[in-house]
Amino acid sequence: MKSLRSGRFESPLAFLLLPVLLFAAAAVMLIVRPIHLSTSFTSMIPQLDMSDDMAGAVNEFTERQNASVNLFVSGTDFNTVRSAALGLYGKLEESGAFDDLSLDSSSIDANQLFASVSDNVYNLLDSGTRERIVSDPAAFADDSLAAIFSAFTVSSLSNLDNDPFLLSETVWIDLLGKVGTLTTFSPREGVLATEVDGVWYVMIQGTLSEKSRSLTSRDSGMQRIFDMGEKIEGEFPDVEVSYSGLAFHSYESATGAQREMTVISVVSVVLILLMFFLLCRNFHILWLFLLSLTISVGSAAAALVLFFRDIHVLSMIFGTSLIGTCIDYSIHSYICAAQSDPDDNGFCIRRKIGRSLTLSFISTEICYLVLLFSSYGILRQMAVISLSGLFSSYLTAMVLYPRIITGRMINRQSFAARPSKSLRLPFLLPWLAMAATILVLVQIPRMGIANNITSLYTPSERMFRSETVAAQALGYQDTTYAVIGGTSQNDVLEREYLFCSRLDELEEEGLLEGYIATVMFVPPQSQQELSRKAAASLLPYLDDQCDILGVDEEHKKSIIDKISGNGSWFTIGSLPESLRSMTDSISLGGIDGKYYEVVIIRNASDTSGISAIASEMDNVQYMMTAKDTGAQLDKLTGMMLRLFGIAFGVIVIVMVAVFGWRRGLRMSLAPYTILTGTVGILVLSGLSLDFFMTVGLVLIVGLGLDYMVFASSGKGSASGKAVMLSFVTTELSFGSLAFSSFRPVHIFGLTVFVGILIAYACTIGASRE
Amino acid sequence: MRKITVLILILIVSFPVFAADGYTEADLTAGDWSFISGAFDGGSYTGSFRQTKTVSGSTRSFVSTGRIQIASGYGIVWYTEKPYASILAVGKDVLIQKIRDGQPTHLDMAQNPVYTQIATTLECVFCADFSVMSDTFRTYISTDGTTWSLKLIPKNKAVSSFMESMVLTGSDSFESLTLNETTGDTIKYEFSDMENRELTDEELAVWSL
Repeated sequence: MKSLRSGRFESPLAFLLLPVLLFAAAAVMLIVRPIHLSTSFTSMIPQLDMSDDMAGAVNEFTERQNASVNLFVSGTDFNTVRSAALGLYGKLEESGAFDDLSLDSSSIDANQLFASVSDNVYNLLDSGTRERIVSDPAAFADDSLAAIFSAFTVSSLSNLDNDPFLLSETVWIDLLGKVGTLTTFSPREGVLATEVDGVWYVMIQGTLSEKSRSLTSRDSGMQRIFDMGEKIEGEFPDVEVSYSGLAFHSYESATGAQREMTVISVVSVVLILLMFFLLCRNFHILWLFLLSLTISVGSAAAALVLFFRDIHVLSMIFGTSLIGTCIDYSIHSYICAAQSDPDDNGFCIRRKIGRSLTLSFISTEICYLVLLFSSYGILRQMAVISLSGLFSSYLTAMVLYPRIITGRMINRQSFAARPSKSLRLPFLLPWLAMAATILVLVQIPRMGIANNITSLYTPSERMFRSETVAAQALGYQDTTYAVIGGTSQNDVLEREYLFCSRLDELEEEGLLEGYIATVMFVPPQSQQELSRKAAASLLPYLDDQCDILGVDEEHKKSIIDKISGNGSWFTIGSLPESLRSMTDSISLGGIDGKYYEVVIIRNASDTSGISAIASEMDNVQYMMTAKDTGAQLDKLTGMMLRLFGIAFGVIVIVMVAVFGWRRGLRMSLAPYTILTGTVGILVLSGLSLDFFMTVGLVLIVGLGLDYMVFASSGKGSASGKAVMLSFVTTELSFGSLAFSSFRPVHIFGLTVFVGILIAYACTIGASRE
Repeated sequence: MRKITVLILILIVSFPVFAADGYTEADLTAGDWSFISGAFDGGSYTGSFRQTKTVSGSTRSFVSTGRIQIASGYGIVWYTEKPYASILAVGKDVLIQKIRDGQPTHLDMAQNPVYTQIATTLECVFCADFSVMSDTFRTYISTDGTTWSLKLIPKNKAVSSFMESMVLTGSDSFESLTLNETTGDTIKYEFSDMENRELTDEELAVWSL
């Protein structure tokens, strides 16, 4: 290998071959395995501790939830609300944004339901009825006659030939009671309506098409739905249209973030360009930067495509961090050239800053490497973007810049080229380190890892109002859910039955307000077996009963056959259509050879109790998305901080190896001060040590250390100016993210802003001319 | 032209069938219907009933007798005495059933939209609340001067899914009520000895079962 100092150890063609190969491989990968750009809000959330099978079922349910939306039309006059709802329904139906849309689909077809009950009555007896029968079958038979001759039965008597003990009466009442708990809405004049405190609500339920859910698609249906709602509110001034569903939140959140990021990026770029022009009096540095950025972003995108199939739009947005590193390398190369002898060529410039660039590159890559060990998909994507992009920037600076940078690119009259007086400051770094340490020590009682996922997203005024209306109309505010798996459909139902029995106990204690589960309507085979056994206790009284009611011999035989069962079970497939439509969203069915069901739990106050029940059972995963994700992020943050500690140790060793003991340790004081100072100030301002702050810390230590390296390795004012320019551009490109209203981006931006500020202060404080 | 001719022919053929039914649609909220409303004394009353249940596709019927009690603000209670004793109370959002000497079954039906529709329907029928009746049913009248018959066809989809129609008959007083279910089953209640009076605390105690 040729010497770096010779300036000819590499060929630019060889360098260009690298991105070309990368792009080609990415292109092939795109053809073989097309990528999926994820924009969902929930997909940002890390996967919880669970098996891949269970995670697949949770994702399936989340997808269904993402597609499922409810719209509520409300007002004080039912007829007006109904007319508005019908108008909105018509518009929505024409829009093509939905795979399925219903205004009254949940209406109960009583005859269809009763036919299903009648056909399967011997399999469907609840435990109370079973006990009554078994404890005194003779009394039960008499009671059934009394019920038949009573004034009114809830069920029909038309099935007496098959059900002479009128067992369908109890099953029917039980079923109607359960159906009633599913929703507060009931069919009324062709719509689903409910009235709460004098306000009428009409509900429109829909399943969004994939195309309309896509936030990146030009045909995104979400905005059209909002527009239609606003139009209806214009036509009917006394009604309000509310929107409920994750898809609406994802849309508002993602489009808001994209819009905001565009504004912030444009403003940052304009300010950076202005600064370049003022300081350099030409835009040559900009060409260097654009060259580096183009190759860097291209390489990063290609690497992302190579390693990931599902790419989150947020990873791409975070990829803008490459702007910072590309600018840094361009600035250091240009300023070094500007401060050098006009006869120095690009290779001379590289000789001067080569070691700094390499050291800075290594230390920053070490910090990014930490992210690669994360179990958080988005974080790994960010790590790949940053590692590959930074590597590309480094190669551009080391291989291409020496061939591009010439004396003619420098305006010798500019601020950048002008020799400036060195700033003489006392050696402040130890004092800064001490101040940061005291600040952190004072904050220790308030310090701790805490990720509150609910605080990361603030719904817009419209969505907040909408969810309040939805909670009022539906009668519940908070739902958690459990996913239950099994080897067969019945295996899942058996587990679900046990789980729901435990939930019943909690409900009796007032610790939850009910649940929705398929097992409410389809008992597992073990319960159906018990039901038949109980019914069999009535067989000794069958002859008398049939004589009184006039049931013939043929029907009598059929009854005996049905009670004996002959292997016929009531299954999910046996559910009548009107019930099936209610359980479709929670019955996940077969996924990769296993079966899954979901139990939706309403207003649970004792989530830890439910969690304990789930943990006692196999294949039951209780999901409290916000709480679980917070706990998961806590673990992840802790893990990152530990890895970060290791990375810090490695950086110290590298510093000592390169600069010697005294200088190396002194330089290591800088990242320590940056870390402690940033954490101290942010905690003092009321923030918690959370995941997004930790990501910011990784970045500031990587970038902040660069300032120290350049300041220590460069020559006087040359490095000072470069570091100053670098500091300003980093604050403009990253620190500006602190203005984002999207909470994760805001925390990240604020951390970088404060950290880079401290890093710059440390660099000045460590410079002793 | 041909289509219009066919339509006119259909109407001409249909008219005798409709007329044979003997009912004409009537708006109970407009006009003088005092000869019907007069049959209902309003408030609370008690009496006797004879109930005949018929099952579709079968010639058998189930006949029972007992006392009925309509308590304004509470609901309707049937005390079936023969052939098997039972008590059934249908309130606006509660169903109470007591069979023989067993424990009463108390069902909270407030969350059951189908049940509440039935209860509201029965209440408006027994109290002759024409306003609610017109909101809930399409109403048809048939009268021969001394007796009247009121046929109610539910507008609500939830109710019409199990109840095809309800027929009330009477002269000076309310005499019978027939529920025609969509399955073809029927329940006919024939009332006698109806007495309009305040109910005693003892009689109202059934609602506390």
